[in-house]
Amino acid sequence: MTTSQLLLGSLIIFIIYRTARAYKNKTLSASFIIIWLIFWLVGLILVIQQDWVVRLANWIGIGRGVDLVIYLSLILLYYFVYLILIRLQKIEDNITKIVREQTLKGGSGR
Amino acid sequence: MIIAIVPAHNEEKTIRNVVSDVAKYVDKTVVIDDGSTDETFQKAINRKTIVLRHVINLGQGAALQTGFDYAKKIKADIVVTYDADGQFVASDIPAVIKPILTGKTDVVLGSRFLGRAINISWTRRIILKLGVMFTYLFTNIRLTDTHNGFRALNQKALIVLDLEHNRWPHATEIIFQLKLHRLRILEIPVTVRYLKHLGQSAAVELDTANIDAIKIPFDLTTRALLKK
Repeated sequence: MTTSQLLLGSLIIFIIYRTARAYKNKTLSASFIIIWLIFWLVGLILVIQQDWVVRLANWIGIGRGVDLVIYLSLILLYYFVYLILIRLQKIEDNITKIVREQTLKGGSGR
Repeated sequence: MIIAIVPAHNEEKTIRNVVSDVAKYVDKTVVIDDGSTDETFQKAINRKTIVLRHVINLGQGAALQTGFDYAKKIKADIVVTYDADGQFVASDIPAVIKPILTGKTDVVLGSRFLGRAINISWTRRIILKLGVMFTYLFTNIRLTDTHNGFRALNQKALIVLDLEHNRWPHATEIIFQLKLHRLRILEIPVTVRYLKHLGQSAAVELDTANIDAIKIPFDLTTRALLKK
């Protein structure tokens, strides 16, 4: 096992440990935990079995396995940012609605 | 009934004069204090003025929509939107309302470039011209001044307007929604004064306004893309 595999593997195991603790403390929903665990377990397997990533990358047409991981990570990050922006917009719309309703109910100087 | 909607955020220096000037030309003035942290709310109150208050600052677009909702509630016939910073000249109001009273149009947009833009800086002029170009790209409507808060709307326009953009992009959104509902738009020359004693032209404030203006295309596009 290489040093990079050891470091990445330890990091993923730490994340899995924290996730398990969150499940125990009931701070995360069961459906989220399952998706989250699958995601990191797949990551752990790929860190250990790097040949699989290289073979998959070659099959798609990308030269190196690590490039495939970076591309996929970027796509995922963009998707998460998109989800966060939607959520932010919804929160702002709700705040506006609440403030407006309160304003129209309780104006002064009438 | 003709009412003026005056969105105001931290305009304690100008609001008193603005509401008393505007009151001469309309039946009722509605000030929307958009979460001001100064004395705007207290100074806006007078006999002919209704002051509504947002508990937090939401932005001029949100304040206008609150005003529109209020105008719908009291069944206003004509709504004039008017900035609280003292840039406009209240004696322009009759000319802005006239085409609506005569049934010539549904909406009147004030234009400082058809009228006068006193002491306007070159940066502001460029930014506003870019705004005009962007609005044309976004709405296909050729106007001379798109980010001018001096407007008049009839009831038909008032009913269809439902602004989602709380901040600067609301000006483009208004034109977009008017076009969507096939309302008639007419530009009328107005005077806009950028004067120091009005408390509006500190370099920092103008810079902030210019930066906000640059963000308009980004805000308009992201909301359009994120809308479900």
